[in-house]
Amino acid sequence: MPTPRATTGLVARKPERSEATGANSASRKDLACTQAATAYQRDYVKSLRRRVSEDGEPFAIAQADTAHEIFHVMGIPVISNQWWSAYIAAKQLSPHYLRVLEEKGFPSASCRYCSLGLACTLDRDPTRAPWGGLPRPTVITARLTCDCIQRVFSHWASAMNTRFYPFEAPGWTHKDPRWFEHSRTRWGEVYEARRIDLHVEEMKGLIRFLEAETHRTFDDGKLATLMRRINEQEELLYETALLLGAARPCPASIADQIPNVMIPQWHRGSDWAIQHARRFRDEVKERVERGIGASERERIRMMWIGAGVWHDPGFFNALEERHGAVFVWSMYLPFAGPQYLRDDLGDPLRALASRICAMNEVLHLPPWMNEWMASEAKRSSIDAAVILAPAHHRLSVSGTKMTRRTLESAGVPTLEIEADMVDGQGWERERMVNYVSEFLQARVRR
Amino acid sequence: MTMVASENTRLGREWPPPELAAALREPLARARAAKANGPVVAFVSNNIPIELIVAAGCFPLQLPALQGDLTPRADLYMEQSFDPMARSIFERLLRQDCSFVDLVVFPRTADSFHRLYYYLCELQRTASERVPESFLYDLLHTPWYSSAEYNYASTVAFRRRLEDLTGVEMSETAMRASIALYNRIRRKLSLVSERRYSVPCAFAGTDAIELLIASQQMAPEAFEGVLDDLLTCPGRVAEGTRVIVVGSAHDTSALHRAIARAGGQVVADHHWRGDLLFGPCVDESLPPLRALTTHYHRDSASVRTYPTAIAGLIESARRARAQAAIFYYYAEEESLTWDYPAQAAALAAIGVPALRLDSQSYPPDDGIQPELSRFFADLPLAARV
Repeated sequence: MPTPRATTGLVARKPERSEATGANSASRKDLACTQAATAYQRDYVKSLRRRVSEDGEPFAIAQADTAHEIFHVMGIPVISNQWWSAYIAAKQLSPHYLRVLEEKGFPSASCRYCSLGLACTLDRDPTRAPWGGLPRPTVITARLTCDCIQRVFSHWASAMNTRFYPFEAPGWTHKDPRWFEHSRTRWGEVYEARRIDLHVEEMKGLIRFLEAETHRTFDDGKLATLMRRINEQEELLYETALLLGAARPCPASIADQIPNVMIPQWHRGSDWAIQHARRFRDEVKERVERGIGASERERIRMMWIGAGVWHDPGFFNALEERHGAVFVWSMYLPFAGPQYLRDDLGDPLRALASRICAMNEVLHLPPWMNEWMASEAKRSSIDAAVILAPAHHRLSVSGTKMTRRTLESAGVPTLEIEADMVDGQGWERERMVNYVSEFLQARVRR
Repeated sequence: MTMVASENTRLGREWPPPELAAALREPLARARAAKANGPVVAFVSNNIPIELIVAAGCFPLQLPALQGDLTPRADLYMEQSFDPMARSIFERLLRQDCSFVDLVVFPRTADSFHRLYYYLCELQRTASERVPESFLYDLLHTPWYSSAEYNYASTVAFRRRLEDLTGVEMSETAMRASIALYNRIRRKLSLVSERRYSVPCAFAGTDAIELLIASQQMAPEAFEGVLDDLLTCPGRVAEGTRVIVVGSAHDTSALHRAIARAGGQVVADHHWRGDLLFGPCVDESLPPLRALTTHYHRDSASVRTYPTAIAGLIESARRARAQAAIFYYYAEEESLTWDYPAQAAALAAIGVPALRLDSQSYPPDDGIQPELSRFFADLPLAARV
């Protein structure tokens, strides 16, 4: 057992609010498939306005932790709110939209990740909004994982003159610390039958609503097929996660990992998504076989815990270049294994409910979060971890201190960075890189 | 807690009466003493069926926060942005102040408390700290039938947990008696509210909030006695611009005192430690578990109540004849603030101007006094007293 380290992690305080300087840069992408993924998503969103406005297709906006599969089965295009927020942030539009919220009397300091889409709609300026803004959706859906979500999404639905369909996020009393070892095969037990039953009922309500609104039908057989295809995709993604964890040097940077897992996840089970997951796996495998690393001088294997820094994706590359600190692990790719893969598809709606009904909880609450992170750190031979702790997003910040303690106890030096995933105000690249650098120099010997 | 008689109320007897003063001064004392007679079950919100706790023969204690104290032990585990009451209660539990408590019941209906439940369970699992046994009352606040059925199962599970704790089966008679007792308290509190709503106000806001605070630390029978005594005494005029308080919950009288000093008088408390604490009466014609489930699902307000109703706020402002509204939000408040634009607009439409105090401390401190004074000074003459 490694010697437990002190658990007094450092916390970087965000400087006073200031406008983003515009100094943040795009990240460096090494994999050919990364460009293909981002191009696919760009074309998808570009065509969305035409499909909805001109062709009259239905459309949905959904939180990431909702059952996109329902929309896929019914042929309804869907946009993830988190992806939309990240995109707005990457375009450096967050400061403007947060001011819009303030001007409307809404809080600008809380839950920015969830509320940027609302702000973009309230701004009603298609010349500023990416792609002219999102068209009017048939429905907006979210799980009520935070107290504020019902409010943010109700306001958004009202602003878009559409319907908000909320899913409950019930408590979870079956606390299996090794959930990730059992979730694929014993999902009925791990996620609790009554929680699954509730989510099934709520999904049926959404299906009935969509059938009435769109005159399209939901086919159980299609869902069963989709679930099998999603398993195929997730196997490929998880295999890639295992490759990344085992290979030295790490063949793909976090900037390559995230788009190659998340864009296929937004389209999960589609021909393109499966093909892309395979292409990603193959490209990573080839780089492993050829000994090509994300960094030419990998020295420190890092774990990034939390959402991406969407307003400054180049942050990670800067650490690679300065220290050979490679972020081998972020949650998005390995999550494909325990949270997406499901055996026993005899009742595909129940299997789907088990995938969705704790998607956020396992990432942000003890014992699920900390025990999984510690297990993953061991699997990926992690030298140090950095946790994103956005002070104004209670869900995302939850569980971070306990996770830091668990990781430190497992011998993984861990640093918390107080920063927001979509709001770059006050974020200074150089200062944050220096802060992580000091931590690495103080805590990681290489 | 400041234990002085309210500046504006001169009741026909001492205020607060000795039993209420004792509960305010030593909020844990009665529960600790009651331990000799049976288990003590603590809870942390208005969304827990206290009727079941009493029906089980247990003492019901709403865990009091450590107002104004630092929370170094809780800070080791709990991140920023958690509700300050949750942080403070966590600190109290880690300090072993409540080691006499047999069970702490947490609601699903507020994130901070819901997450605190997991933190405590994890500390217990890993033997990192000595903390009391926790129970999650998994109450959902969307109005759907699927949530209602889920909630019924949660209420049944809570009853079972209490029976396990006491080793005694909970009888329907005991449940009905407990519901009747708390309904009497609700009706008597309504009469107290009528005094606040009368013109001029006949029961000061500071006294009213302290009455409600004490209600959570006393046995219900004792609290009913306090209400009986209070209602036999004549009310006395409490002057000031009539104010409805909205937003974050208050378990101290600090804001009410500050408002009184600035020339206001709180005549209604639209928050879950105020007028929304007990909710309307539980339906005594239904089977008890069904009645309690329906009540806590549909009639006990929480930050997760969906959809958010503005009508209740407006009705409350009208009944209280409010002349002004003060929205007070703790710095950690991340939900109720989203209601502000619509609520303020609805109040403005009935002629009630609003002051919004954002990102405030818990408990309220003197820093708000100048802003309160300016607000009252700027009100139209008709609203000033």
